[in-house]
Amino acid sequence: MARSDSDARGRLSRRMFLGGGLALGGLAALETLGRGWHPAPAWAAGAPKRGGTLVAAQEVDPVSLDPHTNSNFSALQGYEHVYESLTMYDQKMNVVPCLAQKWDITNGGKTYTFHLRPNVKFHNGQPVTADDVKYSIDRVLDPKTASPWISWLSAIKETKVVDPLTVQMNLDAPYPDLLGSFAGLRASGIMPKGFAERENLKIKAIGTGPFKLVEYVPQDHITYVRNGDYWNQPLPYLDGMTFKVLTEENARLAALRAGQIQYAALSAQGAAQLQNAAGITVLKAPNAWVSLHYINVSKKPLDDARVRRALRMAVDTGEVIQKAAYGAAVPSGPIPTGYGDWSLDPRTLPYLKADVDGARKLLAEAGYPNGGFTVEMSCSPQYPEFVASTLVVQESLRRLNVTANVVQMEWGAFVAAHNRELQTGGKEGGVIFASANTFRPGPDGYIYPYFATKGTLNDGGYRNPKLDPLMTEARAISNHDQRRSLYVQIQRTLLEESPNWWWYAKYNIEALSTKLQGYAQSFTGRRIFLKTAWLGA
Amino acid sequence: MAAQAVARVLPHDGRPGVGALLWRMVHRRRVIGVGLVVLAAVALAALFAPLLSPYDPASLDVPARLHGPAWSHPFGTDEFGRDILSRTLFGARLSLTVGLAVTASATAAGIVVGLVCGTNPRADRVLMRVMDGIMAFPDILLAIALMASLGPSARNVILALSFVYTPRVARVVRGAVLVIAAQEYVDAARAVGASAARILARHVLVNSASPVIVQATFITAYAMLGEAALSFLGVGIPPQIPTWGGIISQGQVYLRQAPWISIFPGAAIVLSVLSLNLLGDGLRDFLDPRLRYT
Amino acid sequence: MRYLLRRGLWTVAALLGVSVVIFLLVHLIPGTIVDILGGGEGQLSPEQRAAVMHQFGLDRPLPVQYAYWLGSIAQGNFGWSFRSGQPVGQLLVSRLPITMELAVLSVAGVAGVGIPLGILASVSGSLRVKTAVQVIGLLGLSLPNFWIAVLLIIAASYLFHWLPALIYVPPWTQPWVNLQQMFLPVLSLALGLAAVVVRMTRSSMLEVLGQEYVKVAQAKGVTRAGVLLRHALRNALIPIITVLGLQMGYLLGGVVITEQIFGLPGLGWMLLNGVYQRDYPVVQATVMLFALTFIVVNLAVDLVYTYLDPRIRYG
Repeated sequence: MARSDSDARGRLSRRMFLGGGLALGGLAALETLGRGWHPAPAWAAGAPKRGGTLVAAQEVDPVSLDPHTNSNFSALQGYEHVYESLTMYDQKMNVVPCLAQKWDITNGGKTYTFHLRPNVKFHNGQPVTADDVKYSIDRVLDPKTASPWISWLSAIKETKVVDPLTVQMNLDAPYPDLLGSFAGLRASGIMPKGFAERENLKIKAIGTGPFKLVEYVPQDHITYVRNGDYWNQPLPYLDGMTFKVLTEENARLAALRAGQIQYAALSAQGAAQLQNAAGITVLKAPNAWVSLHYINVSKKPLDDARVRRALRMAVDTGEVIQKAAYGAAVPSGPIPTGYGDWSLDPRTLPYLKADVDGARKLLAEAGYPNGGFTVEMSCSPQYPEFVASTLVVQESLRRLNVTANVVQMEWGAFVAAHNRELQTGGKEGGVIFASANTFRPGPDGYIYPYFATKGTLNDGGYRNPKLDPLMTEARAISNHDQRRSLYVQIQRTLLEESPNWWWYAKYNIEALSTKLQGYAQSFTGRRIFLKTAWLGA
Repeated sequence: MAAQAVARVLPHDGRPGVGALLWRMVHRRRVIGVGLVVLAAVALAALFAPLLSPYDPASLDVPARLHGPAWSHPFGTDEFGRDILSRTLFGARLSLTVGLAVTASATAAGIVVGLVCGTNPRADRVLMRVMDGIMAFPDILLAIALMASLGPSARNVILALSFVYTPRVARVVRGAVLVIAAQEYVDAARAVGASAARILARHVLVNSASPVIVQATFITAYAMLGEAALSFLGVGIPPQIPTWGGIISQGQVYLRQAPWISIFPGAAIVLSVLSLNLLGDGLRDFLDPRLRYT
Repeated sequence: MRYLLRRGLWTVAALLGVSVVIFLLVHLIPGTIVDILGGGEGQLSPEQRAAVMHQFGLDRPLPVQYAYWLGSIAQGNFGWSFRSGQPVGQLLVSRLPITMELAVLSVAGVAGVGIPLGILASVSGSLRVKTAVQVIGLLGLSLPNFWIAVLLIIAASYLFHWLPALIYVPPWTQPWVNLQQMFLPVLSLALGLAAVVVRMTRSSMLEVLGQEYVKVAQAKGVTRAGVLLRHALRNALIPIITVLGLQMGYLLGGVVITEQIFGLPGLGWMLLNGVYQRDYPVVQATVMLFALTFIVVNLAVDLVYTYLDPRIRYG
């Protein structure tokens, strides 16, 4: 769902594709997808150089640096340079070894044995041992920690220390996304044993990452310094980094142009203003951000899949992309477009163009030949993107003579309403909620919790007895091709049944000074590869 | 305290020269005239917005987005391709409504509270502390909290802002009442047999009209700007409904690239506030008995 | 003296009232820290929610929570932020100077510029001057403060190619750098306030100048400037001071947005985030601090009255 903690103004920075002659409709962007998606590769104008401090802008205050207990993306952006886990992602979204040098998967996928990399030290000089790993994992799984991401690791039933450099985890059922869960770093940062009891993790951090935390002044700045003992020598190249919280995009742009900062994430219109700026490059690529509407399927007439599908058919995906994301997005199904080969080819997605006649026929079939009912849609003005997509839906539904009541709420109130809906099984709280899904460690994260009968994030209790066994099976097989074909089938069915309405996967736009080299974007939307970046002349 | 301070502004006999007298009359007339004319123009624009607007303010025309002022779109278009001229005209309706509604209710409530406080010392102690308490809250915070609880809508914005600005009027009225009540001519009037109500009406209201009017014109400006700030923070009137403040805050991001989005509604606010203030000045000059003789 | 005592008692009463209101207000806003923590993406299970509610004491009945909170404040403990876990008292102390500096400099700027302008407008015979002053003042009054702020940033960076240092430094460390950082935010706040002060100065100067004792002084042969300074200004200051006191409310509100846009880690921005994140301890304590400041400033204003006009006495 959406990154909570909107900027202090109350808006998430907009991401927008370059305006003017370069405006691509989402559909036109599909052409490029045939070539396979990779984020803009790091270009290298010379060999990496050690030294220099990067000054960058952070759009939203991280609020807390605790790697286990927060839910906002900005917190992840704050601690991801300091903490690491057993695995990590490379530039092509492959899971590769990190603190774990290698691992064995045995017992039908239910036992993982991780062999830790020797001689890795925490920032306080302490060596990393299996005890620390066990401590960290146990902390996440402890209900008292109240980690919102516990579901990523809940497959782990038991963590055992075999020897100082070997950890064994026993699962109750096979879960191939486990390795991705570690790499996703939402609740898997490894910290020294006993750390949480000794310090306030919200402002202090000791990990194994390429940078050490120097200080975090909430709502002002975070400074990092190079970890000289980082295990992955010769990284990092930068001597240090300072992230200044600048919620106002105009301020970020001014600072970029003045050379005060060398990195900032921008919206597309912000990026457009840099078109002719000397010394600045703009990178963009789709990332894991799927704009969608959750539907409470317990409310009539939305309990009928035909009705849901008909309503979806009446809306033109291209129009939504233009008006909500300003063209800087590609159509997407449940798994965001560009996620390895899990996502569906956007050219083959249904509903790309509106089909009002077909929608009317379907509604008639379902018993509403002239529409004539009302649905309530909730969104928050603090995320104008979601308001825009909701309004497009509202306008499109008018053609079917269906009235959409758009209710706008302050973000906290919106989240509370949605939670209430989830907790009461759809009886109270609302009907349709405009939001987004961000990165999940694997395809399962976009599917099972939302649509399985036992799923914990199931709006209104969606049940599809045919899909349940497929979803349960898919989350457990390790054979990639088999898994993939299952997920294709699942997604196609979900698109037909439309228990959610999925719109697009948005672009991630980052502006860099030309001095900053060796950086690459990541599909996760994180700044993972600042560790391979260096400051040139 | 404030009472004595306000007394400085109230009736006092003076004898100016003829020249000064003439100048005042000319100045006053011009001032009121200009203020009225501009305000009337704005109000008419708001009233006849549907007739005057070349486009539907809500119609999105994406290929034409972010175009500068041109014949087809005299004020340019915004990021959705909506016509700024149309949105500004329709925005007049809501912005003026919010501004005037807030002023009306805050002034009315403030006058009532002020009168009560001025005439009833016991109520005065309690109510004034309450008013102080309300004023001690940062306006924005109070408004945000109220909006988050009530939900974003025009009605709730008016409610929240009226609540926030009532104490200012109350203070001013109370001050005026206290001073008047202490004046000798009130005692004289009472001796002659005039009822309390008559005294109130004739002397108090007339003599406190001046500072109240000044406050009221300020409140209108604050209300329009307050609405803008709430939109900026995302807890104001839902963004697709045009208000001057809302358009400005949405155009914020495009300030360098498409400044016309913010400039035209901004100019509209400035014009309205200016004319209101001129009007207020003129009215105050008329109503202030002291200045009448100067 | 008795007067001060009575005012002191009323201050306590007012603060108590404010405490009740802010406590209720903030608890009534839909959504709690639990919802924010979960954020909707990571979902907390019912047990986790219960655990968090219990940890923050939010599962107790409201009056009990209020009593606990009031009790701990009386002992000087302002609680811990729900979000950052830091002691609220510490947060207040570290961020108060920034907001204070912003507010004080803005008031000083407004007084330093607004009062002379108002005096100018009142004594000048030129209609052009009067109109110019009035229009400038009104411009500041009618433009949204967030707009003024961003315009200043854009003007500074694109027209003057100047931006202050990014990371805030306190004035006692590097006063010159600090002043540079404060310059634009203070300017944007002051512009908004200026109109009111200019007007009040002008009108009160006009009233005073028209009064008899001024003419008497003029007849006695005191020069115009002398009259201005000794008699008129002193009496004209009273309503001006009133206004400055009243403007604290506007100031405290403007500070919130200004701090956020310019990235100053002050109380206003902390308060705003606190509201969004339902961080009750932070919001409640900060509002109480604002209320106390406001009351103290008004008390000071009233005391200044006695100095300016000996006829005003408080029994």
